Amino acid sequence: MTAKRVFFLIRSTFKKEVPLIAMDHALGCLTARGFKVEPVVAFVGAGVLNCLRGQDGMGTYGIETPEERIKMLLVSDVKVLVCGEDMERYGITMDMLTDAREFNAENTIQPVSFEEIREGIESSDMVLVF
Amino acid sequence: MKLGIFISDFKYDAELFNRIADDETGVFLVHDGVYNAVVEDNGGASPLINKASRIFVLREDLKLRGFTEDSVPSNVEVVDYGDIVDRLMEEYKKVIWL
Amino acid sequence: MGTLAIGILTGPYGSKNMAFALRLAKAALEKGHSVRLWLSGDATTVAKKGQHEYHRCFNFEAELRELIEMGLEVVNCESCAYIRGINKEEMIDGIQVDTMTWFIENALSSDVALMIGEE
Repeated sequence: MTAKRVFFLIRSTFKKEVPLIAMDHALGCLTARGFKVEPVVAFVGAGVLNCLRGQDGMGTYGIETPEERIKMLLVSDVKVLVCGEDMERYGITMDMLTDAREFNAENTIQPVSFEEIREGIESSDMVLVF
Repeated sequence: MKLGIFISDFKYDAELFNRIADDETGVFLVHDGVYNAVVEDNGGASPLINKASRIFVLREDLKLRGFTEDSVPSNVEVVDYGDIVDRLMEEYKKVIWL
Repeated sequence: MGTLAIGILTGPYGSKNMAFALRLAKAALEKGHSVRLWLSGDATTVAKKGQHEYHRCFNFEAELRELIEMGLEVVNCESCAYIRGINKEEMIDGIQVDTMTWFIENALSSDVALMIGEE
């Protein structure tokens, strides 16, 4: 069965519930019936800030952070992309990006050019912008 | 597949729009997005107007904000909800909301 | 005839996004298409019964009832509604409850899927 690719473009930042909802929809792809669904999550614009390491939800408000949800994506082998141009713009280096190594996940956030993200949008069956 | 982009704000996410839109993109101006069809930006048309291949503006949202169809540039098509449905079903099956 | 899937996160009364979604749904239904409406995030609150008529304001309960009568399929996000204290028995008759997987499956099997992914 050919996989249907769903592309999640996340530009919203921490203040909003939107990045978490977007990632929940991406995780929801993994249990779809009737289709094999391949979700791809791409962070663009200020949305790249969701990818920062060291977010402390439990020690502050007792809530889940985008970082924890990204770790779930990585553990679940979902492809997670981040716009390299926007990383550079906001001074984000590779070592500042979160990962899921504590869960033995080899899958990591992949910095790519926006052109690659654009190609991903074009080649996907469905695009959801959050 | 042609991409349709809904724009619902006057001050929309122009950066993302410019990165994604190409010469086949269709733009649907709804809500405050309709201002981009009729309000000048620094003495000229909104940059958006010259960016997309086809631009549609929702008649109801134009009228709601006090504008008439006469104020819409010639390269912008005034449509109603039914027309948008037709355009989506026939032409822009991949569509996003900015 | 085709199928249109609309997903929305925006709360109903603080923005006109819900008004747009319901009018687009109505236009598609009137043309004979099937329409699936997915409510997530703050949009789940539109499902609550007992919304009041108020002078020249939108009344989305009345609109939803009319559209459901016309064949609109409305599904509320289970966890988003739960967080907001909206129980199934408090929802407008005809509105279903399901998970985000429902939206993915039903959007992919539709001809067109539009996600209004902003609060």
